[in-house]
Amino acid sequence: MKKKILWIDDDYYSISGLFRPLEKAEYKIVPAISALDGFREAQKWQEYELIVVDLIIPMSQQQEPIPEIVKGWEDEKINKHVGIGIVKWLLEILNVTCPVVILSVVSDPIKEFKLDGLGISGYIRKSGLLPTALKDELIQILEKREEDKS
Amino acid sequence: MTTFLLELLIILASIGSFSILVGGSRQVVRAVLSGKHFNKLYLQYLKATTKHEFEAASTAKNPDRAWNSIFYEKVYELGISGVLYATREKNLDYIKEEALSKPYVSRKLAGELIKVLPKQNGNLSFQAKLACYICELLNLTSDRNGSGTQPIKSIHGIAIDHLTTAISAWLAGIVYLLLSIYILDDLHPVWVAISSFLLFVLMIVPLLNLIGTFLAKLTVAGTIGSVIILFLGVFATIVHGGTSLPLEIDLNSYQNPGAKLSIRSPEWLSVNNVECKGKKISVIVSGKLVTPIRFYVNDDRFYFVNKDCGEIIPQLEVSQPETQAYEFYIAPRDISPFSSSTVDVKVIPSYVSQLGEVEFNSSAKLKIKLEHWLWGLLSNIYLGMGTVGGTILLYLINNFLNKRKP
Repeated sequence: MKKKILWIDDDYYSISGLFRPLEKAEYKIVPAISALDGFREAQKWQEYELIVVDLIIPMSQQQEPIPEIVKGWEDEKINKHVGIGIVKWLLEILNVTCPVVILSVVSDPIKEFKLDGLGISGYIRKSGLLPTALKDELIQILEKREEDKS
Repeated sequence: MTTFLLELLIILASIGSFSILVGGSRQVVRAVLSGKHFNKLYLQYLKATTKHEFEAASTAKNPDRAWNSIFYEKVYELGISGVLYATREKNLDYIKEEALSKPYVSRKLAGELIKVLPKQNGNLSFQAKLACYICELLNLTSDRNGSGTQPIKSIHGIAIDHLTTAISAWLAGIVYLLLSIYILDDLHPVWVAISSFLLFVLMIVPLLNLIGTFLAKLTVAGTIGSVIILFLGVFATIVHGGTSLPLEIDLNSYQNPGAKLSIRSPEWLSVNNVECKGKKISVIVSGKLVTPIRFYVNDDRFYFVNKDCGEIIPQLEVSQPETQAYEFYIAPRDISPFSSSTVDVKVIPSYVSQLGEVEFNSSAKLKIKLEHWLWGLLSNIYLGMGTVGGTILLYLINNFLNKRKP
């Protein structure tokens, strides 16, 4: 059975070529293309080996009711981005144990938005990223998590 | 009005109709592709495109190759009507972050745009005011409640634009080709060749944008070019005029033993009330004539003229040199305004015997399109209007279907 990665990124379809090496390496990418999609899918976080979050992401892609908790993430937008709300929710509320990685065009968000204490496993900048480099970085993060466990 | 001006007018009307057709079908295709029904197909295309982009970037070890196109897409998407307000705002966020490495987009401008979304506040700099105007325009085409016409899932502006352009150009091209058979008959072959070339360019260029490799582009361009040349070749061989021509008549039975008569019709046989003469009819004699041969037309609406537009009864003299063509023209007497009809007429040869003038049993049958120039113009305008009406209707139906979908 393929290992699953949850990918919360509205640009998923525009950048899906980026995931090819990961898919070839027997990972299944499950996309969530809005904060609301991510909220729904991340409820099953136990099924995932890794969760990747983009910071610049819309609340929803269609007209539908948005739960209060997700609406709260929009407050992050005043100074930051909705994705930060997702990351905080994953790590502080859901307490997910799988690695959570930020993949964004925002440069060094961990430092800029003081996210050091959250337990984010890594930050990868989208710009200038090649598919193999992304695969290598994510696999490195997964291996490190395995080492930490053992 | 001269023939040249008339042809120019028809061509301009045709190009106008074609442009409206392309523009209209473009809107429809975009609306349909952006709708829920075709979203899956579109996303498949999008995934294939991005795969190709990233593979090419990896091969060239140049990530910018892929990321620049994503950046352009974000910029491009700002200006597309129907894009959600939230999407524009998000794109501006992206542009602001990325613009540092992109000298062609000002980070500051992107920042100012974000500040003034959705409304301007306080005293603004000229740059911010300019941004406000842009934002106001964007707001006019946005739906802030989220019921924009963009696809539910992520949109790739450039990809959907390429796809839309290609499909609409082909739709318009095919429809126009089918409808324009009517117009082609009116045009000189040179105009047909020019318009075919333009049509080829309009249809092929957007398609090539969809294809990745040079070899594939060349193959597609070559194949389609060949098909169009084949179409033109077949079209050129169709006799557009006479239905029984070229007509060969043995003159043995008509007091000219050993001689033969050949009547050839023009390939493009249409007449209107602008030209003083219609298209040329050529008669060639082989052998020696003993008696002169005259030609009559069986329809009062037509008469024959010489090259100077003087009315004549065409007559082959006994001195007519063998194999040299004797030429005359068919012209209309009167055409009612706004009328258009296809008329079957006969060009009947006759000879003078001791008993008087005797008509041949054989006659050259001609199918002539008789058209008032105003009708030609109106039919082109009608074609354009009909197309626009049809596309608007399709667009409205698509919108209606999209709104009904829960």
